[in-house]
Amino acid sequence: MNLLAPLALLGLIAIPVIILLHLLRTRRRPMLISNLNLWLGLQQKKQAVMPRYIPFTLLLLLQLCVAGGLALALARPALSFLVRQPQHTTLILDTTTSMVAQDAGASGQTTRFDEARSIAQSHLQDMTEKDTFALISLNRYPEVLLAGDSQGVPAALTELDALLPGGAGLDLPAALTLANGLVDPDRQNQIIVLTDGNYKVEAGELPLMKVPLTWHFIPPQNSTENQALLNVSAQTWPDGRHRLFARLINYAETAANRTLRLSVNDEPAQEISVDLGPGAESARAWTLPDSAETVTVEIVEPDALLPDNRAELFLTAPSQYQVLLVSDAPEPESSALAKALEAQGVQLTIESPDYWDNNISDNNLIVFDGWLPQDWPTGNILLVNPPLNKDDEAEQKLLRVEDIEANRLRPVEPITPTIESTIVDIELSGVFFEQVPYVTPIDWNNKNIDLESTILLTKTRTHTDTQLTSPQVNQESESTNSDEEDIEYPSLIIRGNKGDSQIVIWAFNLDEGNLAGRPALPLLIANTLSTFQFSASDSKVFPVGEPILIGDNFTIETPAGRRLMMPSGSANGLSAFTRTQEPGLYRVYNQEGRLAGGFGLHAGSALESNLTAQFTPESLVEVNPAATVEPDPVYYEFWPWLAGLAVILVTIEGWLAWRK
Amino acid sequence: MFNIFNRRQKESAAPLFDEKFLRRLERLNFRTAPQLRGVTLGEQRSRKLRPSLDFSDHRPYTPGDDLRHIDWHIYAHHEELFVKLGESSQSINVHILLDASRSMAWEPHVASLPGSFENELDAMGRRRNKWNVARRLAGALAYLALSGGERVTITTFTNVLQDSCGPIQGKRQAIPALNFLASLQPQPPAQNGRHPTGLADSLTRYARGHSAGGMFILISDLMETVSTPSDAGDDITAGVEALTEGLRHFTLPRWQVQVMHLLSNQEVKPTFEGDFDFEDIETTENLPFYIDETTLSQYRLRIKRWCAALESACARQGTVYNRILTEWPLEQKVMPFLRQRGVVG
Repeated sequence: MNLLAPLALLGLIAIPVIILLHLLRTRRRPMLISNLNLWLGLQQKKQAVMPRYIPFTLLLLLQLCVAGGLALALARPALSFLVRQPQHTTLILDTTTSMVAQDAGASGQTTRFDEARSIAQSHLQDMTEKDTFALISLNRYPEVLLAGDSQGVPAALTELDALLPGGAGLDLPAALTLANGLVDPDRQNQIIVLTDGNYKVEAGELPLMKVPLTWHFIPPQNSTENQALLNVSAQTWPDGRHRLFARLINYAETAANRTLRLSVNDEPAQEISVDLGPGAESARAWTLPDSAETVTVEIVEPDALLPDNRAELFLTAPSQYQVLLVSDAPEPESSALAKALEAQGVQLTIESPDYWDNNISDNNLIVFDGWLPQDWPTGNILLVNPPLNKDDEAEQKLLRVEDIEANRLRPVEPITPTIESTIVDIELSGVFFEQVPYVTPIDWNNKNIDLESTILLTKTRTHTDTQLTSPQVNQESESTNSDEEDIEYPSLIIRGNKGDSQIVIWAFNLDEGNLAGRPALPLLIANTLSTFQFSASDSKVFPVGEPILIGDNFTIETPAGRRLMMPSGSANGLSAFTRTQEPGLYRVYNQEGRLAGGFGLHAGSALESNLTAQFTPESLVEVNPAATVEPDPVYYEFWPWLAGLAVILVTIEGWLAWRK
Repeated sequence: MFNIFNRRQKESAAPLFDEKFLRRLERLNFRTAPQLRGVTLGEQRSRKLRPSLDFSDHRPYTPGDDLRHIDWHIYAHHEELFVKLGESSQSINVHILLDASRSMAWEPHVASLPGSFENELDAMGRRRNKWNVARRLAGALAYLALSGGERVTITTFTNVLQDSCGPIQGKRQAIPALNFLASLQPQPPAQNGRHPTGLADSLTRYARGHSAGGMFILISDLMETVSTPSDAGDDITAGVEALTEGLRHFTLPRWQVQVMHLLSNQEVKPTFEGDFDFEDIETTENLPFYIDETTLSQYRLRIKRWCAALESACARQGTVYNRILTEWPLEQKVMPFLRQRGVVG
């Protein structure tokens, strides 16, 4: 019980006052006796000035009750346990593509998102009149989808029913920060995270929370296996043909055989069978005729996550691929690298490092030859022969290029072509490299790096380096140089991602070794070029969930056949199309109703297709005690009852006095 | 409260007895010691045989008989002493001394206390306090005496002798005597704390004023005989000497003395407890007093010792001591008690 106005308890002083008044008022009963001498000298208790006992008369008891009741009523006693405290529930709902996996529920046939949505709906339906809620989407761009009080629950349930999951990657710290901002200090807060947990979380990245988190994993025990199509892209060659590239990855702990079907212009063109070991990947490339307009690649066999089994894309009209070569060689235009690039039909521009501007962005690819800028520029990057770090450049931010050993490396033969798309179908027998430095991207996989100044070469680190330093290579090296044991071989090719761009590092110098004179070099160039994801404007392929800028007044036809009109009147004539959760082909029509183009949304993503939960929530998120919000509880005030009781007692007292 | 007030107003004018009670009272006789001398002739003869010069019968001589009533003729023939009996018209003096001190008007004034007089009324609607009981007892005895042809004198006293009625004789004088009693009022509260009751002095004065002797009936609560406890002890029986001193003048055979000691049951065995402000009804002195069971036990023991001392003092003087509780009904309890004690027959 709490007293909302405890100072009013000073009114309890009236109780001793009343008792004192009764003591003073209470006189000894007069008694006439026939002879006082009969009583004189008799032993009696010591006579005090005041009576030795409190005269507990009915009147006194009534007055004490009235005084106590009124004082207590003025103090506004209140009980909190009689009233359900209003709550603010923040639901963080994972809306990424992995939530579409059909492995949740009691039968295992419900999608994870449906299960999470059901839980969210039950929370909303359990709300009482004074409760409020907020629903935050957990994806790359967390936002507050719904918020309101109990009045808005029906509408929220309807909107929740219409919510579609889809998107690659998520920003959990942003979602939690958003939830922190929505904490209602006037209510008891709870934050419930409904997610499948198929992403890595570092505790250091997460904000200190104001209230504890409730993690609700869906499904609770995840061992779902999945195969996915990734990096499906196409390049149009100058002769009009299209080069289609796709990676097939097995995220299962067991080997799998899958059928890969290729359809051109909605007509089945080819089916191939692919064997995938546990955790292995396979890359495929097709050359398509110039008559191809749309192409679909799909895994025929269904698995838990169907959206990433299919990829569709529009094939663009031929356009010349623009490559910028930044080289510190004396005559870069005559280098083997420049010649190999020009042989691919690209429009090559050669610049000196002295004129390098980091803001150059109108090239499809930037090639650095023997030189490295201070920061990675925007766009796809091929770094050839990275310069050694000098002593005064020890704090090189991008790469650590260590001293070169007098080594001669030779790739093992045969290299499994399905391992790495960069060297797929390339005959490397007889190729050797000399003076290959140890190239290590700084903080390659370290999440604690400063993201603004360091490239993010994340999860797609290839097996190239491991392949070249495989035991087979070691054995061959041992056969050629038996004195060197436990030698750690440098990586030859390193590939990774930075946002939408890809970075490929050729750690070797083409002027050393014999690759420049071998047929493998143009093939390696071609594979490397095909490895790069083309920019959205060129390839018109986007991951699901990404907003896409589209001109005003265009009409978009979704894969389901719905047509959506883009609004008009935007500042720059472009508006963001955000309903990109559904994978497939989106056709864009102009105001005249003619097909103006289109784009494909792919669900396959290394971030989403691995359906295995990758973290446990225990001690993951700390609660900031200083920021913890303790709302003022809602009380049930029963002072009117006390006041009423006091009035009744006063009435009884008055009646007794009148009767007396 | 108004009813009670009105009833109190009527009490002073109301008769002490009704006629039925007086007729029932006539069945009793007033008994006196045989050796008590008569003083005058009565208006009518007594139906009882007494030693008399008018011969009617004989009885053997007993010591104390008047030698003049001995039948010497029988002695000459039989050498035995016989007394001649006859219907004597000789009457004796009956003196009723009624204590009218303030203490006689005492009654428990706390209505809530047990033993309160509020609900204990006599046959005439009077409360059974000491004053009313004393007057009714005096009236009954006077009526008996007058019916027996005795000469009756009723006198009240406080510290001195007060009003007096008589001597009167004859049954027809009973009405004035009862009216006298009914009109009596107890002494008003004393002023300046002066001790109001002078028992020894009143008895002495009365005895000297009535040297002929007779039947002497003292009706009092004898509160005069309660002495102030000294610092050395709480003995209150020293005051009994006042009674002894007073009775010393009432000697046999001239006087036959009956002491009617009236007490209320609340005085003998009080039951109230708590905090009280005592006020002496005579002296109006106040005393805050806290009463618990221990105090009450001591009080009851003190009362018991006081009454025993009074009875002992009376016995030493040849006086009959009769303790009468005011709660006793006059006809059903008091008169049989007096009959048992030989006062009436």
